[in-house]
Amino acid sequence: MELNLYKRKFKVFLAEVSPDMTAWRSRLSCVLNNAGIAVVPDLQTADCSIHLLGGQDIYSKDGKGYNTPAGSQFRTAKTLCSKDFKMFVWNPSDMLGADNQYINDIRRDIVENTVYSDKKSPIIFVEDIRNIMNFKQQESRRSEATDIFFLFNELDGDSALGIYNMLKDFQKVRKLGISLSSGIDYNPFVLSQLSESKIGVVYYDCASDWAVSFVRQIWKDSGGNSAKIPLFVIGNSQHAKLEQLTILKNIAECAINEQRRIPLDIKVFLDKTTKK
Amino acid sequence: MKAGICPYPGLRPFTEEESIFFKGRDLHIRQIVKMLEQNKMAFITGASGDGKSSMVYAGVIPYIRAGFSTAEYNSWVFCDFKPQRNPLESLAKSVSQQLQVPYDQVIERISNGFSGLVDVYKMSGFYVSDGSPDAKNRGKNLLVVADQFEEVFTMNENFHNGLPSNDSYTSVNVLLETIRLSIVENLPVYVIFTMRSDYISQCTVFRDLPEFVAYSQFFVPQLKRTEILQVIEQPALLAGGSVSSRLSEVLINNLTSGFDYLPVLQHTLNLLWKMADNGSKPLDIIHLVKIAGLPKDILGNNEREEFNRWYQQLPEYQKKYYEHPDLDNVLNAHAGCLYESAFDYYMSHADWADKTITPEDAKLIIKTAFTSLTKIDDNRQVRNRCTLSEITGIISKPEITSATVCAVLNIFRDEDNTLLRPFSVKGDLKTQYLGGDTVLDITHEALIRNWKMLSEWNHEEYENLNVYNDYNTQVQRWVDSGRNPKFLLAPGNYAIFSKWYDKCRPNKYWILKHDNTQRPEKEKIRTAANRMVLCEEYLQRSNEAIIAAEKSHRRKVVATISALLVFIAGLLIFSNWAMIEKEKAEEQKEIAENQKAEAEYQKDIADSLLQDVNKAKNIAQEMSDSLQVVVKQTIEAKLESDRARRQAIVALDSAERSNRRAERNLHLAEERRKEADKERQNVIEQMKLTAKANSEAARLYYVALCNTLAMKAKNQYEDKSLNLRLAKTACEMNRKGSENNKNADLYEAMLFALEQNKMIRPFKLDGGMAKSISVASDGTISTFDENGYIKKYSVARDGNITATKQLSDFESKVQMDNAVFATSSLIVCSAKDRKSYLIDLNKNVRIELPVDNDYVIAACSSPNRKQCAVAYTYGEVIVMPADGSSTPVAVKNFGTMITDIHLNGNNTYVLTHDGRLLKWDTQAGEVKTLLSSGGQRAFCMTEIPDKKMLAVCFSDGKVQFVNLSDDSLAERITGGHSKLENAVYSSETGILALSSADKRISLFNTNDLNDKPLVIEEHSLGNQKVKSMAFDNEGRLFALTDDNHLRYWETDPDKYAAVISKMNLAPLSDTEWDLILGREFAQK
Repeated sequence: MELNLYKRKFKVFLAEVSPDMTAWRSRLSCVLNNAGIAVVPDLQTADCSIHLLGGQDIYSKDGKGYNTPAGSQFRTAKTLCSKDFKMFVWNPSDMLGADNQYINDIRRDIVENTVYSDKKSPIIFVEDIRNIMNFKQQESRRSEATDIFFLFNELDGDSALGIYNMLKDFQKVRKLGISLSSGIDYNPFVLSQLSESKIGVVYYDCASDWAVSFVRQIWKDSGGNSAKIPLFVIGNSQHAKLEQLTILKNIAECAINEQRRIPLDIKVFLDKTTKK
Repeated sequence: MKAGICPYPGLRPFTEEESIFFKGRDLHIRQIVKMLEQNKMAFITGASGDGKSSMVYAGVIPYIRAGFSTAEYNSWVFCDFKPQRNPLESLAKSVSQQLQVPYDQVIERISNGFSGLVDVYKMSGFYVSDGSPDAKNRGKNLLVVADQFEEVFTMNENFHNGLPSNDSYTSVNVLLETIRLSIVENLPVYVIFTMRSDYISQCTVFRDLPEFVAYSQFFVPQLKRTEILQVIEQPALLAGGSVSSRLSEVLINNLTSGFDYLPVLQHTLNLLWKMADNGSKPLDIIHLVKIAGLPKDILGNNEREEFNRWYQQLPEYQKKYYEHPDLDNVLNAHAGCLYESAFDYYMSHADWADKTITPEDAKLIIKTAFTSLTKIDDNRQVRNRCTLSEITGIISKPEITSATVCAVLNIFRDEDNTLLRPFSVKGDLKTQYLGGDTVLDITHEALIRNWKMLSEWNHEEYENLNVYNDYNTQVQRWVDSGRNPKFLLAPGNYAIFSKWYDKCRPNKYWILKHDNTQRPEKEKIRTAANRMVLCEEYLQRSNEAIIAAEKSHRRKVVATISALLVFIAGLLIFSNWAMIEKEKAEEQKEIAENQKAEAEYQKDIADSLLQDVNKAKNIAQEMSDSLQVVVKQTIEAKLESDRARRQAIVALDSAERSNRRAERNLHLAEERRKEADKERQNVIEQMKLTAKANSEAARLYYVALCNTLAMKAKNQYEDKSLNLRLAKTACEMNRKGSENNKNADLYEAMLFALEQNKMIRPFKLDGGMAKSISVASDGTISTFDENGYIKKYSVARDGNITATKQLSDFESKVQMDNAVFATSSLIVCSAKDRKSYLIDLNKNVRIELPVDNDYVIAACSSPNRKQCAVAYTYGEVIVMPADGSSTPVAVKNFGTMITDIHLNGNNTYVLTHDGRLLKWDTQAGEVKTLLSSGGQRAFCMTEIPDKKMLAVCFSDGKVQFVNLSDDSLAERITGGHSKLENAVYSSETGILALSSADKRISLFNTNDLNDKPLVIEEHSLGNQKVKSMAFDNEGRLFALTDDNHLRYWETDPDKYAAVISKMNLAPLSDTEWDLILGREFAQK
C-alpha cells in the first residue's frame, strides 16, 4: 500500500475576515502552520487563497463589507482562479447569521478551481486543501509526438509487425506490443503516448478477448466521449467482437477482410481525423 | 453511445460492462493488481458500501483483462462466486463452467480439500507446462474471486453457533491451499476475496485464514476529496454529459462520512442523471433539489420559480419527502415514493397478474417482503435472501399468490430503480415474471439503513421475534414436560401472548425464516409446521386450562404443599448418607499418603548407587583419552621424516634441470648473433626506401593539413569569417598536396563556411506544403503543393532563389496527399479522398485517373514522353498515354506495396516495399523478377541512362546497380548508412545523389564508384529530411525538405573553391594557427 506523503510545498494566502471570524482565522492559521503549509502575506505570490464566511456578508455588493480588504481580496482571488491557482471558501456553518442568502449566492457561483467547504473542523478542511493541492495528473513518460500509436497484443505479434513495417515508412508511427509476462505496467505509458498521437490504433487477430477489454479501458482512461484522440480498432472479422464497442463514441471499428489493406485503412482514418 | 445509458449504476455495484464509467479508484486498482502479482492473493476488506465488489468487477478484472498486469500466459480465465447458502457448491459451479470441466468431477475433487482446485485447473487444459514456445498463447491464467465472503459467516447454513459448516470449512481450505501451491510451484493462479471488515475477527474460526489475511490484506481506503470529485464528474464526462462545479461542491460537502456515503452518492447521481433528461442537460443543483436532496433556498429566483411549478404537480404523498431535504433523504424519498406508487404501477404494468387485491394488500406485500429480506444479525441489520414462495408463505393469504407478490414488488426491481434483485427489464416478460423458487435480495444494505420506513418495520419485526422467542420457550417447556398442564400459560402471560398472536399472525414460513439451525430445508419446514401446530395448540390449551383452573385452584394448592413435604423428607435422608460416606473416604486417603512416603525413601537409595557407577565410568574414559594422544604424536613424527626425504629428492632434480637449461641458452645466443647481422643489412636498405617515402609524406602532410583545416572549418566560431579563412587555407594546402578539390572533408568545410556566412541560404516556400519539385531544362524550378498550386522559381545572379510565377488552375478543395513530377511538365497527384489525377502543364489539362481508392506513390514518364506509368501504394500500376486520354494503356495489380516505378519502352520496372525489382512487359503482360527480396526493404530507384543501368536503393543504405540491357546485376555499393529515400541522377555531371533517412545526401561519381562520395550533411539540410530532389543542367542539386524549404548546392567542389579563393580574406595569424591547429603543425 502506497502512502501519499504530500511532498508538494505550496503557499497559501489567508484572506482578511469579518470581525466575527477573527478567532476562526487565528485557529486556521495555527492548523495550517502545523500542517507545514506556508502562509504568505501577498495574494499574488500564493498558490491558493482561503476566504472565511461568517455571520456578516462582506462579499456581495449589497453587503456592508463590500469595500473592506476581505471583500476586495475575495474578488481579486476570483479573477486569479485557474489550473495553477485555487480558491478555497470555508464556511464553518455554526457561525452563520440568521440570513445566509449571500452564502447560497456564493455556492451558486462556484466554478472550476473554486472549492467550497462547510466542514466544521479546521483540520478536516486543511486535509482537503492538502489533498487538492497535491493532486496531479499522470506524468507523461517516454512519449513523443507521432501520427499513429499502434497497439497490439504479443499474441498477434507477427502480423502486427508486418503492418507496422509497412506503416512506418509512410507515416510517423510508434508501436507497442502488450505482453502480459513482461512485468511492465503499460497503462501510464499508453495514456501518455496516446495523448501525443493523432490517432490510436488497436489491432488484433487472435487476441479478440484482450482487444475489447483493452479498448474499453483505454477509452475510459483517455476521456471517453470527451477524449481528444480517437481510437481506431481494426480486428479480424472472424472474431466478431467489435459490436461490443459500438456503445462507445469516439471509437471507429473496422473488420479486417484483406490483411494487406490494413495500412491503407489506417491511413484513410488518419486523413479523415486530421481533416476535421 | 447508446441513447439514455446512465453512467451511474445507483445502489447496485458496477458490472464489468460498466467498468468504463468506474472512476476514483485508479490508484487502488493498481495497488491491488501489484499485490496479486506479488502475493498471488488479495484479501480486500472494507466497510459496507465501500465499493469492494465494484473495485474488483469494474476495476481489477478489466484492468487485468486489458493486459496491464504481469502473468505467465497472455490471457485469463475468471472464476467468481458468492458463497451464498453453500460455498463449496457455488465455487464448484463457477469452476466447472469457466474451466469447462464436468461439475461432478470438480465437486468430487474439491470436496476433498487442499489441492482439489489446483488439480482441476491442471487437468482443464488451461495450464500448459510442456515448455513449448506457444505455451504463453495456449495457456490461461486463473483468477478466482470469492465475492461477499462474509456470507460464510452471515448464512446460517454456513455458520452456526460460532462454528463453520463442513462445506464452508472445506471451501476455505481449498482456496488457501490453492494460494499456497500457487506460491510454492509458481503457478499462474490468483485468488481475490472481498469481505466486510466487521467480520474480520470471525476469520479466526478457519485455521490459517488469519495468517493469509495478514499476508495480503487490502483495506479499502476512504476516498479523498479529489477522488470523490472524480466519482462525481468523470462518468458524466465519459458519457458525454457534464456536472456543474457547484453541484459537485454541494455533493461533496453534504456527504456524511462513514457508512454508506458511496452508495448514497451513487444512488443520488443515478437519480440526478435521470432528472437531467438522462444527461442531456448538465447536472446541476436544481436537479438535486428536485430529488429532495437539497433545500430550495439555494436556488436563484428563476430556478426557484421553475422548481415551484414542478413541485405543484407532484402527488401529495411525495410532497412530504421534501420537508427535510438532504442527501441522506434521497434514498428514503425514492423508496418511499415507490412504496406509495407500487399499487398503481402494479395495476398498469402486470397484465399477467391477478388484479383483485387492494392498495392495502399491496402495502402489506411490500412490508412483509422487505422485513423478510432483512434480519438482525448480532445487533446489525443485514440482508436475508428469501425465495418468492417463502415471502408468499409468510404473507399467508390464500388470495395472494407468488405471481401477485412478484408483480407488486416489480416496481422495486425495475431497471430504473434497482432496489431489489433480480432486476427486471422493460418489455422483457422473462425478467418481469419470476417463479416461486427465485431468490430475491436487497440490492444494498444501504437501503436498510436509509429507508426510514423499513427501519421501523424491522424494529417491529425484531420486537415480534423477541416475543415469539419467549412464547416458544414456554411451548417447549410444556412439550418437554409431556404436555403437562402445569406448563400451560398463566392468565397474565396468556393475555400478553394472545394479543401478540393476533397482531403478528405468525405462520410456519415466518417461523422458518427465523430458524437458524443447520439442517436440511425440508426438515426445517416440517419442524416449523409442527411448531406452528404446537403454538396454536398451546394457546388453545392454555385458554382451556385457565377456565378450568378457577374450579380446581384449592385442590391444587393442597397437592402442591404435600408434594413439597415429601421432597424435603427425602432431602434429609440423603444428607445423612452423604456424611457417612465422607468419613470413609478420609481414612482411605491417610493410608495412601503413608505408602507414598515409603516409596520416596526407596527411590533416594537407588539414586545414590547410580552416582557411584557414573564416577567409575568417567575415570576409565580419561585413561583411554591419554593413550590416544601418545599414538597420535608417534604418527605425526613419522610423517615429518617422510616429508623431509621427499624435499631432498626434489632439490636434486631441480639442480639437474638448471644445468641443462644453461647449455641450451648458450646455443641460442650463438644463433641470435647471426640473425642480428642480417637485420643490420636490412636496415641499410630500408633507409634508402625511407628517403623516397619522405617526399610522398610531404605531399600527404599537405593533404592531412588540408583535412585538419577542413575539420576545424566545420566548427562554430564567434567570428564567422574564421570559417571562411580556414576553408581558404585548406584549399591552398589541398592544392599543394592534391591535383583536384574533390576532397569530401574540404567540400563539407566549404559548405559549412559559406552557410555560416549566409552565402548559401535556404528559401522558405510560401503557402501550403510542397509535395514535390522538378527542374526544367531552362533552369526553372517548379513545386506542386498540397492545395494543388504549381509555383515556379529561379536562381538569380546573386545566387538567391526568387519566386517567379504561381498557377492556380489546378487548385484542389481536397488536400493533396502526394504528388510526383513524372517530367517537368507532367504531374501525377492524389488527394486525401484517394482520387488521383494526371496534370499536363503543356496542355493545361487535368485528367482524373481510373484508380480512386488508393494513394499515388510514384510516377515516371517514358524516355520518349509518350507514356506515363503511375504506381499506387497498395499494388496498382497503370500506364497512361500522354495524349490527354483517360484510358490506361495497361493496368496491373501487383498485390503488394509498391515504392517506386520506372518506365523504359514496353518495360515497366516496379520496385516493391519488400525489396523486389519486377520487370513488367506491358505488351506481353509478363512479369519477371530481376531482384529478389534480400530481407531489406527498398524505397527508390533511378536510371543512369548513359550507362544503361538502374540504381536500386535499399533500407540498409546499399545500392544495387542493374544492367537494363540484359537485366544482369552489376555492382553493389554502400550509398548511405541508413534507409535511402530519394535518388536522382545528373547526366551532365555523372553524379548520383542519394538522400537517406539520417538526413544526409551522398553524391557519387558514377564514373568511379569507388571514390569517397561527397556528403551534404544534416546541418546543410536544416536538420530536415529530403522530400524531393532534382538536378539542373549545370549540375546543381535542388532539394525540397520537410520544413517546406528549398535548398540547392553546387556538386562540383571546384566552384565553391573558386568562390572562396577569390575572397579577400586575411591569412591565419600565428596565434590563430597555434590555437586552432596546435604548435605541432606550426613547427612542421
